Amino acid sequence: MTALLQVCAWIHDLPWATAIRESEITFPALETVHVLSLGLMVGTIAIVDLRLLGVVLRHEPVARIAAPLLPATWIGFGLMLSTGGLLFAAEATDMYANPAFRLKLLLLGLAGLNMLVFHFTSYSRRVRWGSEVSPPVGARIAAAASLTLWTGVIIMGRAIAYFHHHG
Amino acid sequence: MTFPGLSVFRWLAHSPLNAAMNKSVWAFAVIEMGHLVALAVLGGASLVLSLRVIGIWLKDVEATAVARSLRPVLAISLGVLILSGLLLLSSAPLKYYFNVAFRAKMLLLLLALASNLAMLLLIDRPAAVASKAALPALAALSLLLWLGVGVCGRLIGLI
Repeated sequence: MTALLQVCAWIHDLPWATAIRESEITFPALETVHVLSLGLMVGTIAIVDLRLLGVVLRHEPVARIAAPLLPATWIGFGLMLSTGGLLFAAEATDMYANPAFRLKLLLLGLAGLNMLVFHFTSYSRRVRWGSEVSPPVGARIAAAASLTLWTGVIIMGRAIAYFHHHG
Repeated sequence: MTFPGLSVFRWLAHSPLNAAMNKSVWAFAVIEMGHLVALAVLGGASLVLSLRVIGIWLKDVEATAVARSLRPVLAISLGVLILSGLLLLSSAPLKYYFNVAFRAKMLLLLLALASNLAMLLLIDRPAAVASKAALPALAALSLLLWLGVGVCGRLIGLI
């Protein structure tokens, strides 16, 4: 047994994780909040990405769209992370072996990395290009990558259940 | 409670669409993933529009500009949701017909569409007295209705 699997098994057997797993209401309720928070987090990210690609609100400066939506994205992220963490804990041992879950984490990491790189490169120079309909190619690549990666995260999130064998 | 359209659901149950959906192992899963991706986009776009109308987000941008710009996003994501939803539905029409969460979802969907349409129509008439009073209420109602649609959608698979 690898160390990581041991950690997962330990989480899996924690009393509160077991309680979530065995409750007929808590698990689906957390799942519902997790799925619907997508609109808040990925939805607001998608609007900013579509602005960067010049698809929506193209005549508004990027910062005028991105800055007010950022707190909402963070709230959505907080909801996703907390409900996702509890859902993971409840089935930690199964998730360790679930290929869709592994791929989801990988895509999540890449989406975060993409955001970080964009934030410290192109976006930090936004005063220079923020008002343009079509931002520089770096920003547009970051936006397209973000849309692709988040789509992948959602798809893999749904796929977890298809690789999950109950019982 | 009687629910309309039983004959349509019955017809769908014997349609080639039903056969195609059930023949493929992956069709349902892949279409459901598309349904979820479109949910994220529609959820985000209507959240942004409604909260702009209420006056919480994007205060520096004209509500009409937000509406005009997001209309195609709303329309496309709604189109994908309805189309993928119809395909998912056709995999087992009668199962869904008798599912209480499905019935509630369809009812809330109709109300959400009506409320959103009213909101979009009023945004184009910002000067009208009715717009000023009704718009924030319609925006809040739209959000609540979409939330209800989403919750009922998740419940379909649980009950």
